[in-house]
Amino acid sequence: MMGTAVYLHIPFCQAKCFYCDFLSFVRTESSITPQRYLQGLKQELALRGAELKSAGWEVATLYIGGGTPTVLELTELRELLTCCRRYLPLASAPEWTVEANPCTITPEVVKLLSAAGVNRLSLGVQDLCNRRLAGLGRLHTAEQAREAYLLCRDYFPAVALDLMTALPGQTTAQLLETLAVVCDWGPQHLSLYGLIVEEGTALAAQVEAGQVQLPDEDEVLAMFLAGRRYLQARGYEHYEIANYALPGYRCRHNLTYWQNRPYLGLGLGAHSYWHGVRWENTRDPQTYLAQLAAGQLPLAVQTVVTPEMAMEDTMILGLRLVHGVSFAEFKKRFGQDLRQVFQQEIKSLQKLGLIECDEHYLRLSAKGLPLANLVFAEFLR
Amino acid sequence: MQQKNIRNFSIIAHIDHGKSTLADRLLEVTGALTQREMSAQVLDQLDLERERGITIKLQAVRLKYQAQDGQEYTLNLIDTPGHVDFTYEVSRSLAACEGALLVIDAAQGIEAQTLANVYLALEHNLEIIPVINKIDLPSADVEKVKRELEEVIGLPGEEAVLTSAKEGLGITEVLEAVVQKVPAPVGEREAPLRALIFDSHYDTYRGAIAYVRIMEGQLRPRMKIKMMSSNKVYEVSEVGIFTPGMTPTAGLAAGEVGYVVAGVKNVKDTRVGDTITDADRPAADPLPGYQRANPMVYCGFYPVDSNDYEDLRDALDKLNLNDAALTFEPETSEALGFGFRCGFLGLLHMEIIQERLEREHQLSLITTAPNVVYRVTLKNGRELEIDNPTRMPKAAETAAIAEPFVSARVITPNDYVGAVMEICQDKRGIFVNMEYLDTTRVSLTYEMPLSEIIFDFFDLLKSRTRGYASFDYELIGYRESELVKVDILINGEVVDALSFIAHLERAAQRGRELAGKLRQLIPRQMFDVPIQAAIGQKIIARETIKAMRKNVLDKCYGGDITRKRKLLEKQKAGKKRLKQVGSVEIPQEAFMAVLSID
Repeated sequence: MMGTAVYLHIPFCQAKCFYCDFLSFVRTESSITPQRYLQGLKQELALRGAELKSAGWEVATLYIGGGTPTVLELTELRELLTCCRRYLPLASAPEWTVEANPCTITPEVVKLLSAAGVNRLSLGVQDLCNRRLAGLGRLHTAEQAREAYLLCRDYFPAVALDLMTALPGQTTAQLLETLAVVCDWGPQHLSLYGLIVEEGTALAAQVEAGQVQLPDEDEVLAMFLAGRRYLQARGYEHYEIANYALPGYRCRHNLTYWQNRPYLGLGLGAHSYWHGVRWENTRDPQTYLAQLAAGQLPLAVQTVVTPEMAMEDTMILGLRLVHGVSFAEFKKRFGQDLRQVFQQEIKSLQKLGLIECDEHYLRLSAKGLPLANLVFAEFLR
Repeated sequence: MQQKNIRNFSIIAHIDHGKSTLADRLLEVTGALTQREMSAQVLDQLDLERERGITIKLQAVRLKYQAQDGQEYTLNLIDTPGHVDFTYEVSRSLAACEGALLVIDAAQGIEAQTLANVYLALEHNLEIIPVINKIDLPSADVEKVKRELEEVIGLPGEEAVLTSAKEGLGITEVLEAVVQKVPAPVGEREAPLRALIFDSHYDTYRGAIAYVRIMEGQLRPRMKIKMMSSNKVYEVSEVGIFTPGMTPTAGLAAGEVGYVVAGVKNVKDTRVGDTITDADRPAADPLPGYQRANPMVYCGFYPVDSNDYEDLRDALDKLNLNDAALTFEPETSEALGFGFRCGFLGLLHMEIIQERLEREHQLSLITTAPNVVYRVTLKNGRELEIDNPTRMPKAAETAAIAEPFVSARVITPNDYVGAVMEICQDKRGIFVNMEYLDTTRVSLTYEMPLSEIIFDFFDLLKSRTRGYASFDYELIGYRESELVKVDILINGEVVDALSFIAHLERAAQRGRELAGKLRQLIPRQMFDVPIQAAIGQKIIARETIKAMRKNVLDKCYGGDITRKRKLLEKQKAGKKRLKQVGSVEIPQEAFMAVLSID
């Protein structure tokens, strides 16, 4: 049996964070109720599940993200988990992740998730400074985050925490304090995301109006480097630009993306890479429901990935991984040596000291890590 | 056609006063084209001309007109380009005429180019028929324009024809005025042939086609003709007239306007202003006034991608087929690699060629800042013409440098006189004269270096007078100036393509400003990049571009690789417009930045 990755999108939240541009609706203001949405998602699960089974695939990793999946009522959540079990050909020891926010974590929720087979919980902590949390539009406090974490720790073999850097008013010293506290809790996995001001978000408007002051580039770089050094010292392996894990706890689901292997995304606006084609589901709730009610997949945008694009994608995704892109894997997949295919690019990037290679891998150098976009862009032709 | 029933005339006007629209109306009313055949402004044939609303290549057309006196007349309308760059072409087309329609916007009144054109027409003893156009505009003030005509130009305002070319008003009156006032051509049909070339164009199948006005004699197919400037001889394969398409005829005789095809391979051999004569019975003297159109402004064109060099050469060759005034020769820049030094009649000419190369030939170009031709006298007595700042000899070897000066006329509402004078003085202008055209408008004359005009003079004038001032100039000769070369060093190396010549007193300031401008234009690199300006060995300015520290997308975007790709492609597209100079990537605009410093 071949193993693949499946993502389920739950586009609901309690409130919209000021920096967020993901596809999600505030639960109470949404044009579509969670009940109706789950109805559609169930139909999509049935269609995709049957497809996987007949093609001989099993689901090695399942990731329920959003939005905030745990914003669903207990009954809704139970229904969703049951459907996953009923329709998807889950592998024997799948990695099953659910995303959550601290305010949505209750004993009932964690018990339900754990009992259903969820074995990895990803908690959006972001920061431990209450003033900054409020400034980002987060609804929880540092104390609530700690309580949520402690509760999760008892129910899941792996807990992953999301933290943010480059926040307005944040300094490197403050970031290190936060990391020290978080490391003492002992989560298996940590993501350290630099804040990106996305167009059209509330944050972008605040920055535009001068109400919010972002740290300068030197400070942002210092946070990235100091954070990395600190987490490594605490035993976390830096395995992807923004991701750290204790040995054995890397996120298998996300590794699928970075290794440019196929995956299915289900739900509103979800992305799939399947049979050499990239798909985006419709982003419109009504279309989503209507198509599924008619027994059709709610696909909207399709991009056929040429072998050239697949090679480029393999580079720009694979170089996010700290160990880099494997020459052997590349050769096995494309029948060509990547050192030949990207000869010019590699030469000029090496000259700039942004990449390095050994016998087996091509990777970002220490200098190239914070300048990864410059490197990736070179591999696009 | 009898000579007494021929009228040869041009239309002259300041830009946007309605010349092309009037020409279109004349074609329509005389039935040269039905309305269905007319896309607006037929005579402006290049796309660029239509877009910019200007005439670059002049055109000619023969109109048949049944006048009110019952006779049929042949009216040859010769359109003229409306820009100072092409003054010589205007002058040649006027020399092919006996009369000119002087079109003036009823709302704007007389402008700088109106005057420049009137003086040209007077030099050729043309009968000038004033036409006050756009009388339909609410802001039209016909009486004021009539007063200006009388007071400024000395033409009887009462005789002006009132039109609205847009609304089709007064068009017949214009045609009647042409018939009644423009003299019929004179010229012996039996005399040896003398035909004035007033334009030419290149046809892929038939070679260079000369547009001619027969001053004396006759031109027929199978005749042997001779170009009097070069003595080259050709056999005529076809002659004809413009209706406005080319229509062959049995011949052309004195007084007529038409075209001649004679197997000429290159427009350089049908030079505007040259005289065609009969090779077997040549005229004693050519027609007066021929001069080669010499480039006034030079710049370097370099392909962004050095692989496009041959394509650039081919494209320049093609444009040159139709444009003898364009000159180009290969040059090498240490910074930009292989390219061409190109000469132009003026800035507009340069912009047009640049735009056509990019648009019609899909070339991505780096254009270096334009400069004039300097005349340098060395201490050893030798004299040099320098068309590229990089080649300016060392100060220690130079005895004197002279630069071209122009006489510039600015017409402005009197509210802006102070601002205009300030700009002119700032641009090293020498005040010559100030004249009130009426109670509200002033004509200012300054002598100033051409190099200052090709800087940002026109833009400054437009912005400081809110577009109300008009401007024209003519070359008056070379004068000595205290000039120095300013070099720009990026990352410690001189970037030759950024060197410029400036007046000694302003060199330091311009160097500082350019260095500051470059700091903003050049994207951050992976290391600190110093930018310096220097005169000789002396550093006069220094700026630093700080290194890029961090550029990474942390976020995973939930498997949305397409979005990530788009972000990276956008970043990459920005980089494509950069030129690698040494280890620094410099954007195309940087090479023109010297023009936008004040």
